[in-house]
Amino acid sequence: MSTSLRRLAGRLSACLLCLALMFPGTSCAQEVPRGILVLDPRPAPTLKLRDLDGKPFDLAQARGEWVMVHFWASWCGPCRKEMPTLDTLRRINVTGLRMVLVNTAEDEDTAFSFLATVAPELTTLLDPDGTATETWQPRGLPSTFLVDPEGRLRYLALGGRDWGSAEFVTFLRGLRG
Amino acid sequence: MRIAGTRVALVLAWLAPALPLPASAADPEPEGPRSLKLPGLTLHVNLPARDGLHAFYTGRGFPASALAVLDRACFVGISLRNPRDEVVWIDLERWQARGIDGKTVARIDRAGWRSLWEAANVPAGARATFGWTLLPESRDLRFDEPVGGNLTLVRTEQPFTLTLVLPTGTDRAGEPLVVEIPGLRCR
Repeated sequence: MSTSLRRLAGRLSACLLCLALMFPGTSCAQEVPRGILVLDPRPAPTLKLRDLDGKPFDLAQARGEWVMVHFWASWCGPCRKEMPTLDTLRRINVTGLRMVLVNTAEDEDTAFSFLATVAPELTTLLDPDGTATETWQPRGLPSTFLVDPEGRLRYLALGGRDWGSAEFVTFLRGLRG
Repeated sequence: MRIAGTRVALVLAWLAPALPLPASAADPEPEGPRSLKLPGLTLHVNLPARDGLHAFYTGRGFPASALAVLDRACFVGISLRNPRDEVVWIDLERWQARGIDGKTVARIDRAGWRSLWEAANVPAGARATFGWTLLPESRDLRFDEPVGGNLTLVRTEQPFTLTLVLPTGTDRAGEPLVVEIPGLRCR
């Protein structure tokens, strides 16, 4: 890189830093909680599945809002523990954030029975053969990706957590900037 | 156990007062879960019983004909959490199970299971679930990141010692953590 280019990059970084300090609510100033991995932005894989009512969902149609894509299975202990906190997050209703659950490789009855017991207001997409989950390559179950309004993967939550806690709600609210 | 260049000979038998370990390592009884919290690692080991495995997998679409395949394997349930700021790696190729006769107990990897399930006509969804119940073959664990799943071995009737070698550092160049778990027995 030439000296002038390096100088320009340095000035740009300084400007961005100033903006971040001036507007702490913006996503560039976003403080990322422990356990959330910042990803190099890249297009999210396709996600076209049906929910428990047979209603189709296509992630490509959700541009313009942040989407939380959560992979889970009823047999997975940490998923069972985390699910009620996702229900709490649903009740909190973070503006500009859409929550999308994806059940990995279970049948409709299993997913329905589990949610009916633990979080009856939540619904889930069904990935009966696990193919969609495989495409997304989560690091395990549960896994939660945050997809930005341009359809890019931006964050990955490692393992389970209390999504209803102040720390994570603040983080999610800050995404909109 | 080795942590950052310091060799600490940690064998789970040290925890005998706290854990339900057998009196004799040469002839251990099937045992319950073991848990460990160490400066470099939180580890939980559990060998699930055959009946439980049957119930779990048949409940998730495995045909009865596939159960015989499960019975030829030994499942070691392991969960780990990395409490360190540096990356800790799971790299199953570096783990080793050795029977009391000194011979290596072979591991069944994902490719091995894939061909077994294809031969047994196990449905795709059930195969996917099975895959998610296995430990990843290789994975970098970030700070506080958990991972859990089964390590699968060819079934052996003799007790065995499992040695986990966990490289550290983003480039795996750090001093590896080494944990030795003796007196395990397939259930």
